[in-house]
Amino acid sequence: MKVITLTLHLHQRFFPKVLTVTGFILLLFLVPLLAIQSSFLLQVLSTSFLYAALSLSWNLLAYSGHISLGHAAFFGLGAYGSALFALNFDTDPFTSIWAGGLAGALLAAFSGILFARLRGAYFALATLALVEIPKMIADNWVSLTRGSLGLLNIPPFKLPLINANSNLTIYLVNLSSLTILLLVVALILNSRWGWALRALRQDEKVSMTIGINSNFYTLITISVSGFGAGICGAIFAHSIGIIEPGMVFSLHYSALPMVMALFGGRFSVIGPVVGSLVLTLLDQFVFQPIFPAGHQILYGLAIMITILFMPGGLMGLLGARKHGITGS
Amino acid sequence: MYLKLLISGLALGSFYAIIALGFSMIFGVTRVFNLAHGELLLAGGYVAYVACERFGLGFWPSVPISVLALTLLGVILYRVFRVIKEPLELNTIVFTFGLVIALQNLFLIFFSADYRILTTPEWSTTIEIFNVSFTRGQLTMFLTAFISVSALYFLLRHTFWGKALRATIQDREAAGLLGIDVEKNSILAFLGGIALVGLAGPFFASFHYIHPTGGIEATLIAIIVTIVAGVGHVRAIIWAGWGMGLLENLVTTMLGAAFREGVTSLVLIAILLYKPCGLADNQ
Amino acid sequence: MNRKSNLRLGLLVCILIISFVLAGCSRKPSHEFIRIGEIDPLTGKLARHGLEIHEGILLAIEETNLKGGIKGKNVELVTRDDQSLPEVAYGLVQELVQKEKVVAITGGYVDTLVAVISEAARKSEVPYVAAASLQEELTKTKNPYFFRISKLSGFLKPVERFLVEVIKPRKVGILYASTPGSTEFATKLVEFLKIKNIQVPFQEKFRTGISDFTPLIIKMTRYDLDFIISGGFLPDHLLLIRQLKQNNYPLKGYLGPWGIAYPSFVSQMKKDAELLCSTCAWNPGITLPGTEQVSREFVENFEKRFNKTPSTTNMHGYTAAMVIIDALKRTNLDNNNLKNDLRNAISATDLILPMEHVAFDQNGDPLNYEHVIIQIQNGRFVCVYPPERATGKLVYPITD
Repeated sequence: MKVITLTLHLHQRFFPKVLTVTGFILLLFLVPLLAIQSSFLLQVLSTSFLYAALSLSWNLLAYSGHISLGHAAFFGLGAYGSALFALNFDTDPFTSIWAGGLAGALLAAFSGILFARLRGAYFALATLALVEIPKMIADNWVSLTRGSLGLLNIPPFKLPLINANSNLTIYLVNLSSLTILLLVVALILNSRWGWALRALRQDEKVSMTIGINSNFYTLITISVSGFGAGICGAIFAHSIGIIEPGMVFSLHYSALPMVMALFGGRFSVIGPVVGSLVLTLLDQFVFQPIFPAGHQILYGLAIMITILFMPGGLMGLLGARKHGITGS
Repeated sequence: MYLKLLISGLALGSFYAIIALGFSMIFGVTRVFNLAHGELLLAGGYVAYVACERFGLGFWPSVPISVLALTLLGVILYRVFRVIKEPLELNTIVFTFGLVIALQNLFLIFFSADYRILTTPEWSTTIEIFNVSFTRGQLTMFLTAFISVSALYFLLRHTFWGKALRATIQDREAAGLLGIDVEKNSILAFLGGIALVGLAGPFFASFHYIHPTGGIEATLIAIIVTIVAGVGHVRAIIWAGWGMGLLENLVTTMLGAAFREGVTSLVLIAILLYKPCGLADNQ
Repeated sequence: MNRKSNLRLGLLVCILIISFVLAGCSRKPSHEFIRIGEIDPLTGKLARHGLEIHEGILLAIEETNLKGGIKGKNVELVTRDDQSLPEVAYGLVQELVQKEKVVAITGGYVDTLVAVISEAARKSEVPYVAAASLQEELTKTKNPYFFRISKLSGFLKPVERFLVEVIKPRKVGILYASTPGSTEFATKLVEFLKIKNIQVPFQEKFRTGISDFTPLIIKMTRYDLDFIISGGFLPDHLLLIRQLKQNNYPLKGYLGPWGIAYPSFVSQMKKDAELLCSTCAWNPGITLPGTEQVSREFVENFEKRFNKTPSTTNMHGYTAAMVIIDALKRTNLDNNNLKNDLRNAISATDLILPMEHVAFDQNGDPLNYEHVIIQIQNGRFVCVYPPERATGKLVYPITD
């Protein structure tokens, strides 16, 4: 009986959202037709899709209550994994990004096992330190990664019917991967898995007494999260064409997903996507012209304001229900 | 050669001890996990830089100015931190991560990303004590660390206020029940911690160099030293600081400079795995 | 979360995007000006050098406009800051080409940024003349739109010859930064020294921004090095030299290819800068034979405009911009395919400037970019190698 009401409740909540989001994504696929003139807008939007996908991956882990300050580790390893795979085995980027995702997932699983006992601020701290380790390896294992020379000539994505030189390719690749990831995350969060994560976030001890295996769920969640971040890194590597240790293992890629997910609303499935779209557009079209030197101050301010005044993020403000800091 | 390495490691370690002392005091009484510690250190450095290079003051006059400026900043920060809700450690680590980004960009806006260095030629003169030559800079570092650590130790152990403060660190609620003004103690200790950062800032800018993104390493080291020593253990901090300074020098000599940051991070991870509750060890 | 607010949110974001689309469309290309784009690290960790390149470019453009522009049209410079971040640089190329309608792009400092800009330039089919780029592989990507006025061998070859012909050391120590250019320089130099049977017992990579060199210096003391090559940048030299003095290191000779031949270095280091060596492509007083007149004019104009002495980095910016201006003069400006014609004109460049006789090979690499070795003597840059261009005698070893 209880299960049925839960399912009903879920469907009522879930379906209107699905319709709106699907409509919105379709609209985004149509933007290139409208905006074919403004390549810069396409560029900004593509970037925001990549950040959105990265934020979604980050937020999946945050759903279990683990705040990561080190997603750059998975992002960077994904970039290196995919680039090295494509360069050494001469494969298409669409094949090699899976290698990148796998590399990110493996490191994530490893850190999940290693940090299993850490919680809260200490887990965050450990992930912050984690980034330096793959960075140190990429910077010094010269025979494999060429060390500080970085990797050049990483093959770009090619889509049929689209001019390889146009920004449209990256736009479509980024938007498609965001859509797929959004679907995966939505399915996970609306399944037993998702409810287990919510339970773990709210009270780990109680959840374990009702039979939720904390270690198992945390491990698979961090692996999927690392996989997503790895894919994002891989896409980044193939769209820029050149990577270096300091470039991909940078604080930037640890900070951005957290900022965007928290600002958008970490308790909602599409919160990170909304956060990424709003912040990237705001950054590029408002802050960059006003503070050309330090426009990324926006990201710092966004996160501080979120913590102080709107723990549920933008979605929390828009939603009828108020969320506490520990979740809905 | 090893003696020189030892001395330079200890001088570096003394500097680490001072910044860790600040972190420890702030965390101890307010449980604010200040990830922007290194950026505040840079802020102190920049204040000293402005005082020295723009207003032509010397190194020493710039130190109290930096302390004062940071203490004022501390008053604001304390008010803001008070608004942050539970879980406090996690929320402050996220909040101060935002502060890191904001401060880095503020430095960029006001000082550009150039590397700034305080020019203080008198640091280089060497002084011989018992046939061992120290530079004046190294001696100053030892003395500053020694004075701050012993002053704080005396304050905590031998004054009523210090005892009240230690009680606050150990158990906030019980201390309140005993009639200790927890709020007043907290703000004083917080400002004391920030003032120590203000003291270390000018030294940072003159021994090394400062640039907007140069704070994170100092933060990690302050955290490592604090966790190793345990919150509120003043004397242990100087040992842990020296240990860290020596380790870094050893790594740079044996493995190479490219491994320094990596090994620092490995140490932090190892310590967290060994002490999963991190700072909350004195219960 | 209810349905209504979902729709409201969706609507809001749609309006936001559509308004940006419209804003993007409304701009029209301007016909009165020829627009040249510039992407430089004006903020971020490379800002000092980025700004110097910017000044050089600015002077070149202003000089041209004062002389009546190109075929009666004024040149307008559209400057963008990449914040020293490659991912930002990448996006700027499209903006410059699509939104600002520039016909060519210049600027760029450090290979990571230049590589990203050159790839984006290839995509947008706009010629890009890089002001400062080193890595050899960058020009091997068959990118028809990429040109640069500098290259690594321009630094490396003179240093190699200088070491073998003049210094004749037994043991050399090499420090280098973990940037692609510096790493490649160090790797190639070590290979060369091995062939010449010169030992390199000390070889260290450091990250730019490392805050303490003391352990490295103590390690160096063990080897009795005859010469130290340091591939760091200006702040690294500032700290390294200062810490060498603090540790009483018996320094015999020191050469840093980057960051030393600058007035700002000498003014900050004062006496500590004495007798350090560096390389430079140009400096006031060190110019290509036959260009003394042009060089003097450049120095005068620069001093008038910016109230300081120009550096070699300023000259790199100036040279890169002059290449584009010269090519524009040889291009039919009313052509529909202006960017492509301009590309062809740049590729056929044959221009004598104070820094180099600019001409490009098929890959866009400069044919004649070569540095000289200088030493700081009494606060001035004295050319000590090659002999035919020397203006003074090398002091080696340094004795206190």
